[in-house]
Amino acid sequence: MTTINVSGFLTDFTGGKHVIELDASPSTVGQALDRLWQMHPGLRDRVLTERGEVRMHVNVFIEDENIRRRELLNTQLPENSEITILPSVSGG
Amino acid sequence: MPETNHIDAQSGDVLLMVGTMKGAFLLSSNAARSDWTVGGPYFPGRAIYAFAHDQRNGRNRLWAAVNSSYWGSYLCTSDDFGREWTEPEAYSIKFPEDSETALKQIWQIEEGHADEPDTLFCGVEPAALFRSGDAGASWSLVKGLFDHPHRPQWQPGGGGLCLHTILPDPSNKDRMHIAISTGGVYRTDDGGASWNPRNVGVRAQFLPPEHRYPEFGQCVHKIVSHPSIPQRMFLQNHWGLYRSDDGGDSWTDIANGVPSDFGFAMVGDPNDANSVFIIPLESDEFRCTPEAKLRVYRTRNAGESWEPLTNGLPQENAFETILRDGMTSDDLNPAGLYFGTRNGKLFGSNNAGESWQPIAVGLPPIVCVKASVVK
Repeated sequence: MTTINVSGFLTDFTGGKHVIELDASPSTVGQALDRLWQMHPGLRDRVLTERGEVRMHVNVFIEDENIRRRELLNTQLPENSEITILPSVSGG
Repeated sequence: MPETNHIDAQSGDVLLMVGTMKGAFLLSSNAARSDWTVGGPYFPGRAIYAFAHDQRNGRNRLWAAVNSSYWGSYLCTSDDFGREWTEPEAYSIKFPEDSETALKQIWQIEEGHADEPDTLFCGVEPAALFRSGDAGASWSLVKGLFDHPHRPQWQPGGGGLCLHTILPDPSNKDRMHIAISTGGVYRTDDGGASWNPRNVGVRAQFLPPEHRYPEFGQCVHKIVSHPSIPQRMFLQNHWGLYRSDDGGDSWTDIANGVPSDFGFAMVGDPNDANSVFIIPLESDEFRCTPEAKLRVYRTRNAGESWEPLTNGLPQENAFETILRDGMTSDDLNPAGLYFGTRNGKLFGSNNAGESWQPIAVGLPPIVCVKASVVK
């Protein structure tokens, strides 16, 4: 089972849940997130731009590895993966 | 998060909508405009570059353009003066998938022509115009401007490549001017289907001397016009103050007696088509009030001459910056004028600039001030 962790502001759009268990077996990060958007539609536009790209100051991790260092949304997901979505270091 | 205060506004009260880099504030006063109640902060941590108060067709709807460096830029609304704000699941301002463009920031929210009371416009970065014909329920990209052959040559100014000013013509619902930094002024005469540059006489100081008057590409900071004479327009440029008497077809330099013709903010007096207010800044390299004096300059003769308005404003150690949407007026007579600084100071005048008072200090950097009279 794939689980996705969200925190802070994003939990306003998950009914307060910090951990979402997917009832599917996605093979890529993009597929996992597509399933997440179906379950919690308010997350989609906050994490991705309208071009379908992860926003500049949002990071998506598989375990402890940022998908920017791999193949972004095409990154393959091992079974029982844990995805974490976090705001990056930004602001002023 | 900080505790949020709320305001109560009644019919006839003046409402100030103040957007900052770290959230929004609402202020209300009666028509005397001497004592203000402050509400907020709303959207703490978010930058609010645009506000509007839509009171047409029986609405009482505040629009705020909320920008998060993490989560993107989106519109929120409130129908009760900020006690409750919508937080839409899906963002309403989006570029089409085939545009290969993504929204960076919403810079302006403007009501459409009086004959179209459900029409709203948004100016955004990267420079583009969005229109809603159903009071903001849905929005679409104005393709006539987005597909303009000049668009690939527009360049970002210091604030980004933004469409920041939208001026519907009250006498002609098919005509509208918009301003882009850095692209210049464009006008449509066919309801947005086609657009033409309107920059004759406006200089681009940042180009080589022999190329300083291009067809487009000027860094226009703000344009204003008066509803009674919409063909007369005023323009605050990135270096340059101008007036047009022919709907933007040509522009004449009117920087007569100002300490600098660099600046951002420009506001017309709703009760006098010949009166315009600006706040000059020293230069593009030092974007602070000249001589460390906070002076609003007013012309009462359409730019033939300008006079400083200083009563109540600090005249020493005032290193202030006022941005393009940092000054506004209300619709009362005499007009109330209001401006906010990047140092978080909000000033107001209840007598068309004759005297000023500080309304609030210690706010985050102010980027947007809008005013309305509550119906």
